[in-house]
Amino acid sequence: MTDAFDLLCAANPVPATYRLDNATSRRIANTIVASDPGASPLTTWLARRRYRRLVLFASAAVLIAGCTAGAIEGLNAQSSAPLSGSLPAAPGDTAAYSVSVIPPEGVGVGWQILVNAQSYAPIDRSVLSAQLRRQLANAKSALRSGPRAYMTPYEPLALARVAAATQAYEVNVEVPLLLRMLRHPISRRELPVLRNSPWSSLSLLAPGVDGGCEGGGQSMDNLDAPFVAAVMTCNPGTGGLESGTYVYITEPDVAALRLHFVWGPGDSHTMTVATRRDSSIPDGDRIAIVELYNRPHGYDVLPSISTPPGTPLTAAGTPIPVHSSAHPLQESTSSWGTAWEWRSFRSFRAYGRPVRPPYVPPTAPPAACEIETTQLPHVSYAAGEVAAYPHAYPLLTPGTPQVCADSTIVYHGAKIEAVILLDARHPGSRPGPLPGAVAVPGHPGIVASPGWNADASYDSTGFVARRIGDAWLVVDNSFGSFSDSLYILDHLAICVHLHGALCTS
Amino acid sequence: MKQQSTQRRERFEALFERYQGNIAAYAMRRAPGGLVDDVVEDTFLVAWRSLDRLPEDPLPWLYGVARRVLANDRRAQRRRAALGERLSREPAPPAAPAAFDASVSEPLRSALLALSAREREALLLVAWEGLTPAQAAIAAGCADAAMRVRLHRARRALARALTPAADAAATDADQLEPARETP
Repeated sequence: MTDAFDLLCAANPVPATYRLDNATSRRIANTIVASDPGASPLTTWLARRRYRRLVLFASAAVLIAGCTAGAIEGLNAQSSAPLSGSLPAAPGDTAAYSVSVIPPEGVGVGWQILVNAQSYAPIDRSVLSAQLRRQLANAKSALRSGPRAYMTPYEPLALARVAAATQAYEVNVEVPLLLRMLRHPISRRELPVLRNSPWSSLSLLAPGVDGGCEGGGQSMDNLDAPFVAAVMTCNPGTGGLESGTYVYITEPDVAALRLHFVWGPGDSHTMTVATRRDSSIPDGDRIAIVELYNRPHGYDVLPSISTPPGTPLTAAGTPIPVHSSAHPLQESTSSWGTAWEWRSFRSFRAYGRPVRPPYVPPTAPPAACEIETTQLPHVSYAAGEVAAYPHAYPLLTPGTPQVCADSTIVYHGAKIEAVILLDARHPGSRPGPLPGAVAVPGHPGIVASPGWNADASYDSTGFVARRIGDAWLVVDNSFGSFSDSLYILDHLAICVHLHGALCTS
Repeated sequence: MKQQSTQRRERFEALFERYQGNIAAYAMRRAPGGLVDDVVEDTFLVAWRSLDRLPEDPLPWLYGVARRVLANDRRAQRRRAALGERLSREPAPPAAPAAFDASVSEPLRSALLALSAREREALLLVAWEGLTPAQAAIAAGCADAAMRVRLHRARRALARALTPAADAAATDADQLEPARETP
């Protein structure tokens, strides 16, 4: 028996069940039942006859008032949190989040919600393992600029000291969620649907590192038109408030969401949140963001997204029916990656991980799209995925993209995502604009994500893209400089084989 | 009404009889022995009040309640300790150790304590409570996918912690040797 999990199972100190002695168990059961003859103190109170008439009268009044209130629900809804903001954290530190919709980075159809958090995790160096202490001390920057970065055995750790007094280090977390936009067989209009629900966890970087974030979206088994939901929770470490950033993307006619949060048994509350338009959300869809913190309710876990996540409302406060459906599509893809990569989670966009020597896939997967890096020195492949064939989805919203190939490459130690986007309705026709993308002065034909910063030396958290024939080539450099992104965009070569081959020279 | 009350009580007693051993064992592994009765009582008190809303498979739900009861108790202990410090009282005598502290070997204990609380709980729910990952997700109050991630990482971390030499060799190999595999 050498497996660690088997060792743990064998070390179970208590049998599977540990029965209390009869007298104790009898006492406990009797105490519980005797203390509360009904379902709750409320039901006990209601059981008394003299209160029944009063309750009936009050219920009727509440019902009438509720109907009236329902009609103005949209006006009374609280505002959505902004698309970026700060999170309360440990004293003296700050943490921030931002939500954006970006081109997808994995093979699939639709847009991707990106929830980004910058959290500052305190590190108690005195309890770090000797091995990690040694590795941190010897860590050399894998980046040409910016803070030093190092891969722990689990996740990346940026050694950017932000508060010398607290020994805090910056941790960046991104929760990528790929959406699909489908009309059939799900009713109503196009439905944004999660392709998958990857959960990225940084709750454990290494022994001695406290805090982190994790997040993900609805399960694929529960698709609730007309909206999708995702949540990211961050724990800044001992003494800080655990925060939850709940993100809802809705169809354009949803003015507000009535959300139901269950904190624990018998402890739930409902809130109504107005959705908002934003130019960075494609197709006229709307967004609602809610921030919750754990401490006021006394539970150590923030609420999960319920199923369905809530009730969508029109501007008049009328509920919009929620349509649940199973996911209808599964694309055929080919994947490849380095040995190291396949032992990690691909959903996490790691950075700074040294991969050497350069890895080149022995044979390119047969597909309609190719990404070549032969013109780029100092680049190695990490992983990639290609669609076997880009299907047409003619009923989708115009402009919805489809990724037919994605590659993760490593350039000077920084991980970079490169994808080829096609028009999802008619692959081979000209794809629509990227949401919120703006032209980059001095670089004709190149666009960048909103808020791009040419001076950012690292962590640009943005993309650059250019049209090549009837495709977009998008480069997302989550931990490198803007100039690096432009350089790679210029030197990557792609081929798209749809109506004859189209390749960059 | 009286018949309903009797039926309700019988349902609760059947529930208690069937699962009290699981919850007591769960508490025994995580809390000092003197607290086990309290954890069981508090857990089933919540179950009694929620009897009409219990899920079809109530055990993971009961574990979830017990986990929160334990968390609240730890929080209360911290508050009590802080209050005691402020009032300059003598510290309370140490409680009897949990079975976890008393019986598990030191290397394994260290490895478990090196995990985050969430991942440790995920691992123990499966290894010691015998839950499936889906049941453990209900008990932990997280999504299935999150539980799978926690389990995967916890198992990996545990394996690494228990075999430091192999871990160091693997890390070196990861960084220095050419990749040989293609999935």
